[in-house]
Amino acid sequence: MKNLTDALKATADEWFIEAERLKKKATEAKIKADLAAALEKEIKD
Amino acid sequence: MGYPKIARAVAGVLKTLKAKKGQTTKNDATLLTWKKVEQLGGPTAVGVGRAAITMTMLHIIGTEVTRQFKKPLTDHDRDFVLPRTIREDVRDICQKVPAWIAVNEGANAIWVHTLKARTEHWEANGGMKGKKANETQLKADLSLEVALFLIDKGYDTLEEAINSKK
Repeated sequence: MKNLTDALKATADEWFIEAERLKKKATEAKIKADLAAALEKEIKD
Repeated sequence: MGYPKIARAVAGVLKTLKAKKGQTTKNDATLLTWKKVEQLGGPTAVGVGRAAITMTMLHIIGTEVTRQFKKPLTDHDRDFVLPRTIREDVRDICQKVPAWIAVNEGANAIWVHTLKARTEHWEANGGMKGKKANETQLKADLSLEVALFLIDKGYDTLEEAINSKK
């Protein structure tokens, strides 16, 4: 949601879409975190 | 509107476009207005001072700096800078990471080149990304909770729920 007005006017379907978008974003961030952790381990070892 | 001369230039362009075809895109209207500004003598001729031009340039350059931070390592880095003896799985990881990594947050965050990053840099970067992943996941959970709440209570929107007397 871009702002409070959007959030207040969003329907359940739009909230589901937003949840899906954020879930995808979180997964991408997790992948990046795992890559960084893999390189950290590689350098440490 | 902070720039009346630009407002007039845009109004003139839109008037012409309306008379010609009656339709346009934001991009076309913007580019046509830019051409008009150039004909008038450039940004300073329409009241955009050097300070505003500098701020705009800094913004454009900043966007480009971020883009180059986040782009993958160059072919040259991969082919010639990475040691030839590097294991295939590590080479694979190096192809997925950006050219530079941030080791803290904010506008003054420090970025370290991927090939110069030490253990502590990767640890800080990984920690930051992990934190971001968790925060984003919490937001996703909250969106799901709102959707289920609306369905469960029979509201179309949160606005309706707030204004409801039930």
